[in-house]
Amino acid sequence: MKRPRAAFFDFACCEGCQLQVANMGETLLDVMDRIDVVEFREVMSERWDGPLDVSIIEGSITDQYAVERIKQIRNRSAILVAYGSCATIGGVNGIKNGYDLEDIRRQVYGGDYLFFPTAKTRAVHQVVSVDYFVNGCPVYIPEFEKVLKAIIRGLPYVVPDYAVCVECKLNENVCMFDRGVTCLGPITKAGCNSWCINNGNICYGCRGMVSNPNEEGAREVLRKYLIPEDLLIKKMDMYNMCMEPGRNE
Amino acid sequence: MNERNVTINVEYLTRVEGHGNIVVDVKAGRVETCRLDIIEAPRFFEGILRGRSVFEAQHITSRICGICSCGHALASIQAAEDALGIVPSDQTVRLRKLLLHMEMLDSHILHIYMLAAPDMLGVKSFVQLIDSPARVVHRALKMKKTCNDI
Repeated sequence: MKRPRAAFFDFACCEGCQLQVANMGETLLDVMDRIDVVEFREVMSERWDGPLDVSIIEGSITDQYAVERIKQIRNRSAILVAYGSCATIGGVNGIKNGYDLEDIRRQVYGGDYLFFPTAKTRAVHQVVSVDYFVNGCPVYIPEFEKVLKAIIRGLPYVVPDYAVCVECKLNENVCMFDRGVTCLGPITKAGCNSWCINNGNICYGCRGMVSNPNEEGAREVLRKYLIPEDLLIKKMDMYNMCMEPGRNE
Repeated sequence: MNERNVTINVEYLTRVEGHGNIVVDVKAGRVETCRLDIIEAPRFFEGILRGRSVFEAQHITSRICGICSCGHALASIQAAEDALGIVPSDQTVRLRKLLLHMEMLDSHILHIYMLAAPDMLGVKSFVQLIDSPARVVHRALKMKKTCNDI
């Protein structure tokens, strides 16, 4: 593909994943050499209403207006990329799906709650088809670079479907369970090079769950370290609520 | 007195975190409407924090805004500490302040070079400044990287 025409679009999110692009440093200039960014609201005033080769979508779909907008963007985009946890799995926006929506609106906005309509949070692929996924909260820039390279060369990008632990072991980190804290690494998709654990934090599961987790193995680990199962399930809800069956209808 | 009719309808403010529209309506020199619409989809942070552990709260609140995530995380930690009567050590407070200052510096560089400078120089975005002989964009990106590295 010759210098594809690309745009960034933001939906319900903190816009931190777009900021990761601005944080790339001078690599950003190399990227701008290879793709023609025609719209990027957070840092550019240019607008483009025509057809696009690549649309990079940040944020989740949380109301009817967003549904219409994402469909319209899908229609004029050859390739659509879900970018960041909010877009790929619903992310923290999905937590609200565990509550009654009217209750949560009243609780936060009191008597004015009618001015704040909302719908169950959905990830982008739960509304329109998605061609590439860049997981993470925020996205891991080296992985985003890989995805961009794949797009430019017309190749698919396959998100690793093995656990973060694989990369974590290669990075020779001491296991968080051995350090007395729980970690979602054993059931979370790799691809981030165990970024958080390398920096002393635990894995929060922001990349989504592996498709075939070793449930029995995970249970065994929990028993060994005397950790109640519901504690871990609650941790999983932080990012993955939208991906649970029946949580986004 | 200017008797003009002016209608301004800015759909999507750009170069800013958050979504907003500006509507201005002037009829015969008189301002009839002047409105900033916040069209950000509500995300209900106050609601989703209910029933969460204090250890998770700071992780969730830092997702309020990608530009000032450290500020939100530190505020949440401070609230939890206040509630539990924990007094952080002097070293911890200093390290947190360093983090906060770096975030602020980073945000200012982003603001000046990438979000505000295009307006002052009459261009639409920093992209048009990349090839400027002063290499300001290169300098800004280098400074931003330094903040993030720290």
